[in-house]
Amino acid sequence: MNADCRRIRDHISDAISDALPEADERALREHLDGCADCRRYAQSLAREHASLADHFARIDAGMAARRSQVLAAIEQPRLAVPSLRRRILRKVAVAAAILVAAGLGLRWIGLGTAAYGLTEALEHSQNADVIHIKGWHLRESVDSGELKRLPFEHWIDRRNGRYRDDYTIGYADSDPNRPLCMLEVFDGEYCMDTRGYSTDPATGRTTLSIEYAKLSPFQRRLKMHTMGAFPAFMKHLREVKGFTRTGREQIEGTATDVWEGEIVAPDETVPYTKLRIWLSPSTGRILRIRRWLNEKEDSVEWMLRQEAHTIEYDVLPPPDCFRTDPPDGYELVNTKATAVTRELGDYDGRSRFYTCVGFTLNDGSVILGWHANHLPQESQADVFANLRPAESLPQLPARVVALKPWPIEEEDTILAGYHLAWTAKRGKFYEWGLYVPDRKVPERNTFKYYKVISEYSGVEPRSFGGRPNLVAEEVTITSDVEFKTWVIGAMAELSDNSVAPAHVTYENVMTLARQIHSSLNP
Amino acid sequence: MNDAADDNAVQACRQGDKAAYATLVERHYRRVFALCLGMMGSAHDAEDLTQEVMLKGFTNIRKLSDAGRFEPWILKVARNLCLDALRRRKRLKARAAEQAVEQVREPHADHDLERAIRRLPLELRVPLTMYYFEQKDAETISTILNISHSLVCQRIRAARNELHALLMEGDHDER
Repeated sequence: MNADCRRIRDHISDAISDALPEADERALREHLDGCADCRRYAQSLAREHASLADHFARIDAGMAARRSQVLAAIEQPRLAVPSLRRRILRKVAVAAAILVAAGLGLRWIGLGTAAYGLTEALEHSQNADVIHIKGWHLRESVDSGELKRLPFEHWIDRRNGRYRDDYTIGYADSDPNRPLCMLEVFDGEYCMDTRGYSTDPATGRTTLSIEYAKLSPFQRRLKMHTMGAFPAFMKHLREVKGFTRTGREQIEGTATDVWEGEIVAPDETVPYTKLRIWLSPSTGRILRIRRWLNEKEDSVEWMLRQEAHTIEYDVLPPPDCFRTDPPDGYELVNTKATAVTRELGDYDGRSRFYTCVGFTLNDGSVILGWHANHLPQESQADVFANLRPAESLPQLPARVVALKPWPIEEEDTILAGYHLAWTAKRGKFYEWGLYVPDRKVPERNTFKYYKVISEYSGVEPRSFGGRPNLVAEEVTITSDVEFKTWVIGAMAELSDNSVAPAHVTYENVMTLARQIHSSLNP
Repeated sequence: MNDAADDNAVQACRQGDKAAYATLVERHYRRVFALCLGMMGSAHDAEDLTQEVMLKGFTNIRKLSDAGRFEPWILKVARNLCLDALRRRKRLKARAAEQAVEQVREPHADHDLERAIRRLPLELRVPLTMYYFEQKDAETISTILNISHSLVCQRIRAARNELHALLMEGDHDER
């Protein structure tokens, strides 16, 4: 290659970019006619150019799914916008809580009869067979800035394992007065779920589509457990220490105490929240809640943003409340006859590397069920054949090697993974790893997620069609009974014989976790 | 440039409106991902980091002083996280080299291409990614990177030449 070739090779690159001046094009052609090396170089560069374009186009193709993953993560209730003064206020709140604890206690005495206070209100309120909550929240339109009320209504029938969730996501672009309503109903057997709105470009007609699914018994239990009776803002009821009783009012003929206070360290997006709660002193249950938000640190203006104006317990739901017959005018994605059963091990169908469920134990360890098989037709029986508890995870091409609390400000804590047990169902193998922290895990409410640390060996991550990022479903285990219900139940669900491995008991697992932890910190 | 729609969304987000942040994600995800992809050279890493950037953006939205300048702010967050990740990557590589761990590598054309892209120096990888992934022309790239048009052309040429050499090498140990 001579100096001319070097110059020409720059021309080749410019020609590929379509940026070569006409004057140089002729010189390039003439050179290529007489130089075999540069011709080969030009052909290679053209091929690589096409490969690059293809490579980046394929990356771009996954953009929507990636974006959805972020949006889903944002929807996680633990994600919050922390206040700059939050840490200080948290300390103040703790101090205030200590000061008022003696005075407020779990109960207070009034009018000569035992009456319930606020601190156990959430527990009392959730402890009902049927709960009905109706209300609204305000949302500001990003385009017009106008505040609009979006109504919601929830019915939960714990005894029969049914629920109904009506909510509004906004208003139609074409008609600002027409609410866009969504619905999810589970009748104990079928789940009917609205999937979204679509508009026919020809007619301009908007239809809402509905999809049916069945839930496995374990999934039903998990759903009823994780959804909780009180949506979104009401979970602040765990933070009511320091609230004061400000008066008494009647709601529908029932006497209530009115409690009020500011949440200083809420587990939500806005740190400055004021709640007013109407509590029945005779039952300890909440009958109404209002929530104000205050954006600015020093502002004294509170804006009423949410209200659950009707909260009822053990009332009879309307006859059609849990019916899952498709409402008129809805487009059906499938039917009950073609509905698939959602089991614990079912993911979105795109990924062959995913986590199923995580269980947090008393000592901060986590049991995590996961599956990884980039060649689904291949059996993994050999890989799982000789595994021993507390030893290495199976040598799969993709593995969840560790978990990491995220985000935390302190030094990074890592929960390293060890094999605990495996189960197999319909040819799919599931690893149940025990992830033990290398140091004391921060309080669970101080971080949002367990982030999944995965490792690949000899395969491209994309060959799995997706990968786990965060532990999605998470259940806290504090007793042998809970361990049997959730951990053993999950393993049984993902096992062909519906039985969990015999060595997996609460006592054994806690002992294993202790031994591993001791070996990490001799 | 101050963006009124971003301004509204940031204000709403500060009031706890997650849906408002979702609109910011919708608008800026691709740009942030492209920056992470250019800096890291791997879609896998870019995906992780973009998620981290977006979630960090959400939890730190109160630190954004000018609500209308969300994009430059979130890109700065992204750049800093990428630099941290590159430093971590370098440390891990040093450790892996010490332990002489041999990775089993499956021959795969696209895999080789991605590894070759990762081996490019940062100043070549970023404009190359802008050109192919974001499909920006040299003029736009020169404005974004604040370098001359001819330097952008030169870097894209150099990136192609370097990539060609790396792909011809057949030895794709990362630096």
